[in-house]
Amino acid sequence: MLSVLHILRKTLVTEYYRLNTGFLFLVAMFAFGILRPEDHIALASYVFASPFLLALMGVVFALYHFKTVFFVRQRLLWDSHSFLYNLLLIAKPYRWAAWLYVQWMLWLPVALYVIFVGYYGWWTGQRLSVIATMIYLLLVPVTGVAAYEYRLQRPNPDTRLSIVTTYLNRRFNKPQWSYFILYLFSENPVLLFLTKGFSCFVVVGICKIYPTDSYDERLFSLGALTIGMVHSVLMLHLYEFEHLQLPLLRNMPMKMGQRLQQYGLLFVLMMLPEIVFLVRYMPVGLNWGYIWEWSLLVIGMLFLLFGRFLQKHYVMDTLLRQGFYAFFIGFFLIMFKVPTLILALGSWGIGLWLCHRFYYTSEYIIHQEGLKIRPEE
Amino acid sequence: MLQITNLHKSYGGHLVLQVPSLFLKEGIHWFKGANGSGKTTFFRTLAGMLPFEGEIKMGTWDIRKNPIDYRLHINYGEAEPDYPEFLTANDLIQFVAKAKKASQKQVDELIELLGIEPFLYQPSGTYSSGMLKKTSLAVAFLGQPKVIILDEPLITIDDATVQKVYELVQRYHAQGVTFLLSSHQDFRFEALPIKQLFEVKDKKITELPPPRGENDRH
Repeated sequence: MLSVLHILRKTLVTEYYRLNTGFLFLVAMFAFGILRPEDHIALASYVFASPFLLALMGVVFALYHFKTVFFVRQRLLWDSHSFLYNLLLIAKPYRWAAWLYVQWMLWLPVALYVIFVGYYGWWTGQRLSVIATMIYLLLVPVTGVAAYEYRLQRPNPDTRLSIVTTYLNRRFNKPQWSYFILYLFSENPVLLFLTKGFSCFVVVGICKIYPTDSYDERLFSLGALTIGMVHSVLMLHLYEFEHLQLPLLRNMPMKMGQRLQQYGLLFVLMMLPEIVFLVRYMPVGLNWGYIWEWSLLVIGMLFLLFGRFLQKHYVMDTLLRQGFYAFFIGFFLIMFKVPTLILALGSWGIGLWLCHRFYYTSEYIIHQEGLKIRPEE
Repeated sequence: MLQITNLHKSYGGHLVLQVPSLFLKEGIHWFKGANGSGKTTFFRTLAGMLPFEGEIKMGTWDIRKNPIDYRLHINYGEAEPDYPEFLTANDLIQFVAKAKKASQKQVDELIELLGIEPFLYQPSGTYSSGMLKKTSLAVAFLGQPKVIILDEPLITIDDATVQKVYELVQRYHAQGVTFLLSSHQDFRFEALPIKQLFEVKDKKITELPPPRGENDRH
């Protein structure tokens, strides 16, 4: 049994945390970088006192749970992980226990946070809410076990297409700029949903805060910077997607202008939700000219981030370090009142130059281990 | 046709291929080599898909100075194609056809010849390895290329499709297209007149004597 747990830990748990280091780091950075521990305790007491907020917290945790379940179920579809179907040979109670172990390991960040705030909630007298939250905390991973067991029992999911999808595939060719969006929807929907959800939340939050004090437009620029940083993980996915799944793009006889136009369309589409939210919740005192500048800035940041990936192959650790530096540089530029338009034009200019200069020299570096000659060769 | 000078290809500082000078004349060229010897890296580099040090020219077109002309005339068929699973064969073929300026007539012919029609509108995530291979072969023949690189063109496809590939190579070769092929199996030499045979080994590319039967023909 221990060897089974060891294999599951190595193939699923470690892999999950390795691939989601950036996501978890960003969540931790925003959760504990902005809010102090005492703010979390205060927030917890509000949440435990309000059934609505408690339900909302449950929804957020459920989203994280779906992310982990989706990850494991996707891995079970991979040929490289097909050996995991041998788990069917293990007696059910042991197998279920193994899945529960996997799900608990993936659920750990939520569990630790809930235990942390639950402890204070308990001592502030919100005992019923804390008990309900703990029951929720214990029950949710069980649904993961059911989801994995379902996949294990039905290893080949039905891939027949609906009449609508077949009709659409026959009627329309997918444009190049839509490839990455479709990739996110099909392979990383939770990451897409969380990223867009978070950055739209930032936009709405800033729009609500802006009229309450003597803030100026720098507040929105800081928001744009935050949104850009959050999108660095999506840009890493774009970089990987093009190199690993569409290497033929580099064999296509397309002018650099055409390529950049495709990226431009993609980035506009990606930032459309944030721009729509800004327009929808635009506070009094903000003019349309600034909305344009802000939109240019967030789109330009995507060019800048993607250009940096083309310039240098980043592993997640380096990306995080660079992200930190970039955030602080941006932060100081904004605080020293560098106009948003200048920041936007700077992002566009440097981003386009990086893309143009490094497009053909960019390479997805295989890990050094993969270069070693295998014994059979 | 293809002039390669001082080519150095490294991955993360680790040299994997070094070609001081190589001239590939018009014709069909066969590259042999064990797994991991660098064939695919060489092919992908020639196709403009990987960065490298050195010089590669097709006639007067330099891969760096004339990136559009060069890429318009060099096509590449992957050994083990792996496309985004939501794209259909039709999406891929139409996209490449547009970029490579292929006519709809040519697209229809390739789809019919390689038997792609039954799964043309299915997402590639549902394809078998043979279906993926057929799609990549169709993509490799689109447009008016001067050079077509086919990495392991015969793996994972059935015998009937192998014959179709021979047919296509012969037809395009008759029109003056140069082929760079790699294969673990011997090609049927009565079907394909191999002009030069190379071995990719120890980070080098060495020319070998022409395969048996070739000397009899020329």
